[in-house]
Amino acid sequence: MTAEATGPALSVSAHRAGRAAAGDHDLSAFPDLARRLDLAVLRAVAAGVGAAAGPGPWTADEVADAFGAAERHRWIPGHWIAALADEGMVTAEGSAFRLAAPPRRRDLAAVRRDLDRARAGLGFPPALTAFLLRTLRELPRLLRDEVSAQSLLFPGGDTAVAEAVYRDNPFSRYLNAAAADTVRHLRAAGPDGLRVLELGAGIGATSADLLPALDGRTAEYRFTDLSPFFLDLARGRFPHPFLRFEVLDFATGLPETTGPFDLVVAANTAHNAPHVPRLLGQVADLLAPDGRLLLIETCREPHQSLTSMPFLLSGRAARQDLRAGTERTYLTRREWREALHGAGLRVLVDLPHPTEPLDALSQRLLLAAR
Amino acid sequence: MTTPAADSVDTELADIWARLLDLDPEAITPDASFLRLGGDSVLAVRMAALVRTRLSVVLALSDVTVEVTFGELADLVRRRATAPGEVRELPIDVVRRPDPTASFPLMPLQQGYFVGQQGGWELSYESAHFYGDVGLTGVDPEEAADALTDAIERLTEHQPTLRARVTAEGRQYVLPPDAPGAVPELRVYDLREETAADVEATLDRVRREMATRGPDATRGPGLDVRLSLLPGDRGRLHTAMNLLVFDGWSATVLNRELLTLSSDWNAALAPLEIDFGDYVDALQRLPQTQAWSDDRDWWWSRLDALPDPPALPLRTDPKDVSPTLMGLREAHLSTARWAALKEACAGRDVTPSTALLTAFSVVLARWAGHRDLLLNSLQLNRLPLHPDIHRVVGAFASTMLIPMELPSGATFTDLATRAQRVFGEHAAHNLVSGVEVSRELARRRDTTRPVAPIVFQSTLGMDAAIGARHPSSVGPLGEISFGDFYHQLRTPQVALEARVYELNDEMAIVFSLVEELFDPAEVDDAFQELVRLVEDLADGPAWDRVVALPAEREAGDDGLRLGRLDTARSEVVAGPPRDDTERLIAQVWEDVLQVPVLDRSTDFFQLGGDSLLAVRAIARLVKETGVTLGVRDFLDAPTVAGVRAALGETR
Amino acid sequence: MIGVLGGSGTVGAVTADRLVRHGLGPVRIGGRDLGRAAAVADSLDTRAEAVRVDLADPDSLAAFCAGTSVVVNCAGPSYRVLDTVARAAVAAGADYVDAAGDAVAMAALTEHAPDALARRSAVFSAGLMPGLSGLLPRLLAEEGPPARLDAYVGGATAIGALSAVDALLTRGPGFGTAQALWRDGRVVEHGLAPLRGVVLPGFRGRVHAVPFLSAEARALAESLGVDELRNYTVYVSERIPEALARAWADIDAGGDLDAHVPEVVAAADGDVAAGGSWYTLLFHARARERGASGPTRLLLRTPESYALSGVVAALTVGALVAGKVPAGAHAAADVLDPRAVLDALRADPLVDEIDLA
Repeated sequence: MTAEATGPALSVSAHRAGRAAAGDHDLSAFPDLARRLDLAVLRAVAAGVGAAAGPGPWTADEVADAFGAAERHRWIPGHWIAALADEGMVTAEGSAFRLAAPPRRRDLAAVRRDLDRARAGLGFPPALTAFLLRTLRELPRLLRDEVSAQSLLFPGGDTAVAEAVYRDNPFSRYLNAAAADTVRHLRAAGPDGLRVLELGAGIGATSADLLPALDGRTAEYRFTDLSPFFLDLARGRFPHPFLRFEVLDFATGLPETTGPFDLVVAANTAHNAPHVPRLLGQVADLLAPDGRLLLIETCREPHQSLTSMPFLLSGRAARQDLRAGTERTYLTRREWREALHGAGLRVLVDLPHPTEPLDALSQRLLLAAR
Repeated sequence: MTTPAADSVDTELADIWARLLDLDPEAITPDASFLRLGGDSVLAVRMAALVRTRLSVVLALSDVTVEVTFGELADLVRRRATAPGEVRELPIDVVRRPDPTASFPLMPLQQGYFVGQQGGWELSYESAHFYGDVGLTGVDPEEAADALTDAIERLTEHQPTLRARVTAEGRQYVLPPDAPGAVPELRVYDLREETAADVEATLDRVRREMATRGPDATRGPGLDVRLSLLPGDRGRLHTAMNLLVFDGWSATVLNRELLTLSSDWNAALAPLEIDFGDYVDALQRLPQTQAWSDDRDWWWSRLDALPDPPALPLRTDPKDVSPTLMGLREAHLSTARWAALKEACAGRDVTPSTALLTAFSVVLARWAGHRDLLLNSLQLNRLPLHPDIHRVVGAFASTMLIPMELPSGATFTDLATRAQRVFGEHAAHNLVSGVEVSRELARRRDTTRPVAPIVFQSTLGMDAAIGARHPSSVGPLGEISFGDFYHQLRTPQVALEARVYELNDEMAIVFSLVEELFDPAEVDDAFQELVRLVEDLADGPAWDRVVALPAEREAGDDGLRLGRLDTARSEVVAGPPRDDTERLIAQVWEDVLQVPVLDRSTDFFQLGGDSLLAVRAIARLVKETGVTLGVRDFLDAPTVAGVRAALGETR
Repeated sequence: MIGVLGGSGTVGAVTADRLVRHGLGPVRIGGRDLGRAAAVADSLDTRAEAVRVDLADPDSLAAFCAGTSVVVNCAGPSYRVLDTVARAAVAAGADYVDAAGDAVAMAALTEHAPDALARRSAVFSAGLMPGLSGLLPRLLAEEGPPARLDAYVGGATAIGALSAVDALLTRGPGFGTAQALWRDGRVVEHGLAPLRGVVLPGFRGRVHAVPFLSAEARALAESLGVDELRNYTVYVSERIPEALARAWADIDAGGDLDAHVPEVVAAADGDVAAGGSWYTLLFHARARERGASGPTRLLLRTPESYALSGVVAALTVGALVAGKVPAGAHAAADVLDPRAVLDALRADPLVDEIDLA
């Protein structure tokens, strides 16, 4: 197959590779289990709010006060209340809310069990349960900024939790394997081999699959992240000689002098840009004529991330694109396709298919070209 | 292992002491002893474990005495760090067993309880257990039961010993968490609508039931938890624990963890890297070590010179007593006096436990009429082989014999100092359990009666060593009133036990005894005397007074006295087994003991048997002959001929 | 005239004494040291001569044997003596009794048997072990072979240098197999483990029983037809087993056997110093059928094992003289009458206890 392979053939091949990597699971149960996991966490959040502020009625501000929340996190209780309202776990009383059914101990014991069962059924390691329960336990301290979400995600600098979330589960395996498959036949623009730029590489969850696929024909793989912690980690983990490490905060802009790249990768990170279309435009400029952009993104905020993601995002630069004025972190699938189109990029691969059980967490692989 | 740099040893060690003793590291000067700074032997064990993990240095058990000064210990640690071969190390490590549900042997004291539960011993009960109940106020009656149920389930997962069972052959194992019967069921008595009289009556009934028929790990869970909901948002939390699988330290850990998990649906307990089975498994390797042989030789060489137990005058022969409950005498030392006592002890370089032991011995000596006494004590006995050991629930405890030889004309300070030294020496040789030592002593004295039925048990300092206080506010269970605490204890082979423990900054002194054995007036007098003596020690003057003691060192022979009881057994004519039944018995014994059994008159215990093997032999004989044979019958005549006769009688 | 070679040693002196007591005299005491031989002869209650003999000198030996009806060899070491004295005896027209001399010595005699052996008797292993240990257990098989026979022989006894050499040599197939037992008609190697610190009837305190299926035990098992036989050598401490083990390890590596004799002797002395001198033979039979009523135990206790060997040698002479022994070479256990020996031992002052129950 040549690099000019058509989108469908690429997609089929990538999907197959992803499914094989996802492993042997009862995938049909995934959508239901994902929902259960979300609801379990949300119920526990409700219990946390109830424990701090009572059964209500309260406004979002009153809840923030009850927690003694730090300034930058004051928006979070309101964010929770919105999710709780969506699921009918709080009822409105004028401008205030109250808990629909204050959770009883029996219910909370069930929440713990449900959470773990769903986690196990979805193929995530036990570290995820421990992490979620820990964040729930620490909600008051998280809100007061007495403990950082990063320290819970990387306790003592250990990456086991992050690996659980971004690697060691069927969804991540699917996406990362599919991603690696799509770059198999990339063609290098320059004579020395491929030039790759990865933004916000983090623990290298996706890099770990890409690097072997690119080995032997790559001149340079620029592994970048905002934090030197991850660069150090990667240095110790990945032996490939063509790797270069660089601190780069793409939210403030991409250096123009370093292109062109045959491949730009942004896995679970592009949404951190305050203006996604602008970022996509900058990336498009950096791409070689046959270059590709590989994106992995979450397209819907799952309830299960409510105890961690909001804290990681607090205090970041305000969104300036279509998310401005909202508390939204993510773009939907459709919004991504439109933004890519707007940047002059055409979508070659968009996986998994929305009817696939592996779409249950709304995590998506998008491969685009100029 | 990396060698710690010299000055980092001081800093690290000071940090360890500071945390354990709740002090500022500045307060730790080189010449301050652990004891003076507030430490005790229980904390010393934790200290050794922390030194092991944080400084990678293994301390010999004899190094970790309470009298050690900071400077001495720091030197020792530095030396050990550079020359690891010199120390009497315990060359065994505790690691996770591949199969956590595999069976493993009973520890020696567990064996004693196991045999005791089968009516094997004089002064034994159907179940050896500890019972306690505590008052609760501000209870949420709708949530309390669910909170406890949830807590019990989580605790059962976290602490495998809650799922422990003991087999008929005297081995133990742990059920997987999801096995039927693995999680103890909570029983709730909803008395909120009852009259005061009915509430009293029910509580009484529950107490009586739980105190006399305790949980039995040979038949079900070793833990029984019940909740009484009373009017006015009050309640009582009842817990009974089978001593066959839980020791005193474990009871404290369990209660604490149960309350923590009850208070919050999402409370977390740091996971344990090892469990009791892993520890017991590791200890199987101990008898092959030189250190163990040395300890065994140390004890064996002293056995023949040990004194007799206090020859207290008896009303009845223990053989003729079937006790159901143990009687209690209880007194509390006020917070102020307890604090004063602690200070007085520290000032004289003795631990409060030792002072209490000495006081008890003085009272016993006067009561028994002689001043060389053999006492038994219950020891924590958790070897510091892994940092998690102090958090593991299991049956680690063992007994330890302490010879208390009280010289006449000495002050109490002298007696206590001496006791401190003797205790320390004996405790340093704890690789051989007191149960094994007592067995050998019984063998040498040719008796199956308890060799040391007067027991001393102190858990002073345990709370501090466990770390953190009992939570007093427990979510839906409300507040715990520690002053409102009732308890009962049944331990086998004990005629009289003195217990001292802390509760709420006060110190409690308890006598637990088989009432049928003693004259109640004498017991009251002895107890009062002990309490007065302890109060005098707290107040000051008793330390420097010469202690009046009986002139006699050994017991006299008048009347029915403890430890001087008839052990005559009917004479058995020696010779080879005479008939087919005797031959069968001899064959069973050979299989169980793995030695030749060639004579009908040789004693089972002389051949190398112990009570656990006796139980096994009996089980086999019952199976082969179809005739029931009681453990007590076996122990009364433990020869081939004797057992033949016992079988013949029941036919 | 009964010739007693090595008559001034423990075994020889007792042999001579018993011969006289049983009325089998006169006795000729032979030894390397005439003075000592004479002392023994004088101590006897009958006519006795003392003669100087050098076993290495055939003429000296022949002169000693001439005119005797039986020659009793109580001189060792048997590994050196072997069949020398036996040949001299039968050549001189005398019967032969060897108080020690085991299967190896007997084999040496029968391999190129002298013609005279067709008319004369040569009895070997006429001591305590081998000897009594192969004879007395037969009393437990009179009503049929037992299912299993256990033998425990040992105690604490001083041994001389020559006996120490014998002990060090007692290895290899000719002598027996360590850790083995006899079962269902064959030797089962590695079938038994040593028993440490066990209590056994007739043995003082706790002893160590080391399994060793000796050639004699094996022969006994075969001849009785037992299903299983376990044979143990009993020690009162680990001294001798350890000394032997160390010596054997060194010898196997090329070391000198004689160099180890002192430590073996010292080990035995240590045992005696610790608890006195005593020796026990214990045999325990398990019957094949239920309800069997014959004796199941034979127990013999003596303070002096070597001295008792002398008694056995004398009893063997008695059997010879009474015509109870056929011509040819035999082991004493095969030709003596166990019950007669039992009764005789019961009356002997060197037996503290003998019990068949």
